[in-house]
Amino acid sequence: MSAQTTKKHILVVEDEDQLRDLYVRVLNDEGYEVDQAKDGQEAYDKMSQNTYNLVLLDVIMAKLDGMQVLESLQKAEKLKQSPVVLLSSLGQDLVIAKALEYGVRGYMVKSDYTPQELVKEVKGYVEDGEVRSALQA
Amino acid sequence: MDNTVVTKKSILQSLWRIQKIILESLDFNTVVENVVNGLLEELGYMDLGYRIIVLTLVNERKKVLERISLSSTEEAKQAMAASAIPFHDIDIPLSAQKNLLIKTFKNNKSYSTHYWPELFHPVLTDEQAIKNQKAAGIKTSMTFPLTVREKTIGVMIFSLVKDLKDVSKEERELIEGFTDIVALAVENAKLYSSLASTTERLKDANHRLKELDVLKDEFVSIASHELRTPMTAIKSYLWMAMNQPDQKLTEQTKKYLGISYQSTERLIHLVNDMLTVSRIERDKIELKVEKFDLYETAKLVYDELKITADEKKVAFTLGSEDKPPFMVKGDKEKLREVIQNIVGNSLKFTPPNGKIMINFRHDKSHIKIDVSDTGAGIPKESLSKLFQKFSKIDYSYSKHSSQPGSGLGLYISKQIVSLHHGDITVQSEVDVGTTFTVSLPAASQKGGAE
Repeated sequence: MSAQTTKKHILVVEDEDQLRDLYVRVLNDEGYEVDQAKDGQEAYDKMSQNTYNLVLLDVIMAKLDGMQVLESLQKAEKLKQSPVVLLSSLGQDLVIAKALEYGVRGYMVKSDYTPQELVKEVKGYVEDGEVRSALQA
Repeated sequence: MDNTVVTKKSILQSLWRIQKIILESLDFNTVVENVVNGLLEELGYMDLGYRIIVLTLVNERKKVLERISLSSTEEAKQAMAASAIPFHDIDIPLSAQKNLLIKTFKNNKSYSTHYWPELFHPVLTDEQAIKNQKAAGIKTSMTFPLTVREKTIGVMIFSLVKDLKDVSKEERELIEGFTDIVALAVENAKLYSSLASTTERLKDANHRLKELDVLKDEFVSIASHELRTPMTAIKSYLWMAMNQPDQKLTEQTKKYLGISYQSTERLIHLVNDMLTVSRIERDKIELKVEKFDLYETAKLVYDELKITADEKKVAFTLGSEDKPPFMVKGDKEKLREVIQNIVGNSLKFTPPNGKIMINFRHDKSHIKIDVSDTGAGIPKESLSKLFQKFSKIDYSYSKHSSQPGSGLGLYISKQIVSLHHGDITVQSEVDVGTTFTVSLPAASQKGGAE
């Protein structure tokens, strides 16, 4: 299986329409297959039904917030299915400690990244995920 | 017990005893109760015919003499049971003409009367006052001024079931000594109570400030989240507009977009800096401490900023008086930010063809990094403001800067270096240049040694 033949699958969870559109677009341009969720409930449904190479999860959202999504997935024992990176406008210190307990891979403050830098980060996480699964296999 | 109980010699002993009782407490309410009961209960004045002692104090604000406390004797109870007006409501105006208490207060002299209306006028009618006196069975009342530090603060009333002629000289002398102690004790208790209530209020205020601080912190967190969301959208879409491969932008448009993008970045930095300040002030900054070569870190900053320096035609060097490494124990990323901030400032404020030098040296147990520039220099009066929050120094120093900062950078840097038990100092001369010196405790170069 190689990156050329199989598209990597990414879920973008973001309640701000403009930002979600933009993230989906730049990741599509990069050759990823991108799914999107506009709130926590939708994120939970998609994450419990599918396996993604990476989930970009917003924290402050309607219905379920990002942390509640993680909590619900853990209860349903579906948390480990997809690697998660938090993408938020919140200061890192507020959520990171709790998020690490759920095994999230990383934390990004949205405003610190240009679309290009974001894509680069995503690439890094996806490759890292490949290495991990190769090691586990 | 007969009158000989109160002899000259025993006056002093008695006063000493009563003083002990009165001064035992600093609580105002306890003191005023003790002064009207101590003499009767502890010094046997009941046996000398004394029945009721009343403490009145002047209320400057209301301009009245207020009844404060009253002995807990049977006679006092009878008098009050008969009274048309409750004890604590009997406030005699300082302007009252025919009142003996006011006369005592104003003349600072002791008086006596067989006729209670003189003690109650104009609050009670003569009939009402006489009724009270009869109920208590009082023959004579003596009034004594309470004076402390040459100021009269109130009047005490001593009421007896005997005639004035039966009051011995010694009794009077003891009462005079007693009232001096009372005045002092009451004044002290008043001061103490006001101090205690001030302390209590300060505690409350402090508590509220702490609550406000938590609220402020929450506010900063929420506000920064709300600010960052639209700023991310602006930044991202500006970036998209600037980096559209298939779009031909005019130079003018590129410039406009560039300025918008830079301004957005500035806003984002400002929000990040405010969050950092909020964290520093709530002691929420956590250092990821490791041992590392600070010179290496400075080299990274140098390499990054060298490009800008070259563009600006500023000669930029990194060197050391002593041989590297310069090992420190601390948070690598945060100290990198400190160096970046200081060097970045110099770069901002040094005009083209100027010079910036970063120099490392060992100084006893410390590592010192001097960042010197040939900028406009900072006037003496502005130096002390440099490390304060939002210090934007108003002078030519900043006129070379196309990009004003948040005014928080040096404040944050100083706080972070302080957290590492170090310091940042600055020396400057107008038109010559500025040198910032960062001083940090050196870590031992050997691996395990602390």
